Amino acid sequence: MNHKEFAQKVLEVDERVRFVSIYDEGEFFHEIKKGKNSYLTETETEISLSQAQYRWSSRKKMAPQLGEPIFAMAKYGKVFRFTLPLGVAGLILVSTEPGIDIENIIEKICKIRDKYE
Amino acid sequence: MVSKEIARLADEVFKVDPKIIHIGLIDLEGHILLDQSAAASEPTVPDTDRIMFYYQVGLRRSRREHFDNFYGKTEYIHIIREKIQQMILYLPLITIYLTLDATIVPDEVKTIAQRIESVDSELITNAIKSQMF
Repeated sequence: MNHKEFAQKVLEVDERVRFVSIYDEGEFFHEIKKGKNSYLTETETEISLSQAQYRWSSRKKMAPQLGEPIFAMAKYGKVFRFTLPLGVAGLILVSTEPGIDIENIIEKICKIRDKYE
Repeated sequence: MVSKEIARLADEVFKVDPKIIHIGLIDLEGHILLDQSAAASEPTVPDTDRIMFYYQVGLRRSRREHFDNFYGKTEYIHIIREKIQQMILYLPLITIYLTLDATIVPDEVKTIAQRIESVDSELITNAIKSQMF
């Protein structure tokens, strides 16, 4: 997968998409929209992403009882944060400005993911 | 032993939307204060798997709150799974974990979050106080 190209496609789906991160084959790649400032430092970003990856893997452990996780959305005061699976063990994290149409953005991200997987 | 204030809070949350299937109320250390199905008149006694699950929910809260200064306060979390949907809300000192009907849509989840946030503050305060010694 071309991570940079994938991230750019996701950043372009809506002007309110701020940040995209991909966890694939044990490594993180992340990209912030041009003109936007990250809310986190580089170190905080790494910590946040590794925690998200850990959370997702713990959610997957409950799959036999509850079903596989399809996506997760956390609403914070300043951002919405979406987490979606990528392949068998990968992850996509997308941060947006609040107020975005959740179903619409998820549908668009999934279409891009399905094209690149 | 479930306090009557905690039981009252759970009753009030169930009234918010009929698509709420199950509720778990957890303290900041991940200990279960109440675990109850909407269809049951009494709380359930959680098994080891559920105790561990709620412990992880509590752990995630402390990790998320580390980022509150950057992202703003966590308002709610919505997880869509193949079989069910889950929702987590953070009240002061109490975490609300909900299992929701699989047909619910994100806008309805947002409304549930707003309605729970506006549950009588005295009821929430009493539930919190009932856990203090």
